[in-house]
Amino acid sequence: MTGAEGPRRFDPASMLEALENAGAKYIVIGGTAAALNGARHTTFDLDITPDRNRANLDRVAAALRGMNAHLYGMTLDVEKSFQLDGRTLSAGSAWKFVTDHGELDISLDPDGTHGFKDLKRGAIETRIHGLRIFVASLEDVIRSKEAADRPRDRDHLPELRRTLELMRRGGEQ
Amino acid sequence: MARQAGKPTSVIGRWERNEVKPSLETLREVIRACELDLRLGLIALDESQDAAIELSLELTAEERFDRLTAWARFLTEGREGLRVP
Repeated sequence: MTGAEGPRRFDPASMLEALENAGAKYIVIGGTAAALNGARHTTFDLDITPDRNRANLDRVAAALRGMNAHLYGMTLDVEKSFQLDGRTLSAGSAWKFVTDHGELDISLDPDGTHGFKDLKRGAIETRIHGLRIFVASLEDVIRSKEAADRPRDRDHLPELRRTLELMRRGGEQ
Repeated sequence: MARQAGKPTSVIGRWERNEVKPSLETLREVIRACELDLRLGLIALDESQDAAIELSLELTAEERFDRLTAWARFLTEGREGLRVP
């Protein structure tokens, strides 16, 4: 049985620790980034945009292997032929994995952005339980969700925009 | 897009980098050049969540992270508890 069939768990600290231990460079994006920026947002997966150079993607792949990552919703046949390494990751734009610590989504080019270098410009560096992480700015989270324009993005956007307004009014950032 | 809108790429690059913002009229011109239109509308301002958002903004990043994790755990356990055996 793969993790996709088991109960959902979400332990982002362990996922971030695995990425840090592997020396991976990435930006936290999506719902976790929204929550870390102060939005009242709940999510059940960790979304990241890694630096897309091959050596870094190899480090991300090593972290994923260390977390027993499986491709979400894939059959065993596909799983068996799937080689989890930087070369494979570089061949796609978005990947969804189930790990021992929960779901980890990798997006090399999130909607409305030009990937890691674009997001890094506005990213905020912070420390979470001793881990040094870079988090996409709320402006960039909003930009990406506006571009993605999925129903759930449309639901969340009013509150994200309001959070940004109140953040600016309060002089945070 | 620069070619279609008749704007220098340097100008579009400055918009993309958030260094300057196009005026509404310029934005509409660019959108029209892409054979699209811009629809604007007015809606009531929703301030109902402001107090909760402001409380959230007072937390540190680590406190927000812990809250997110705790919420997710609570909801996961709640869903598991509601699952029919």
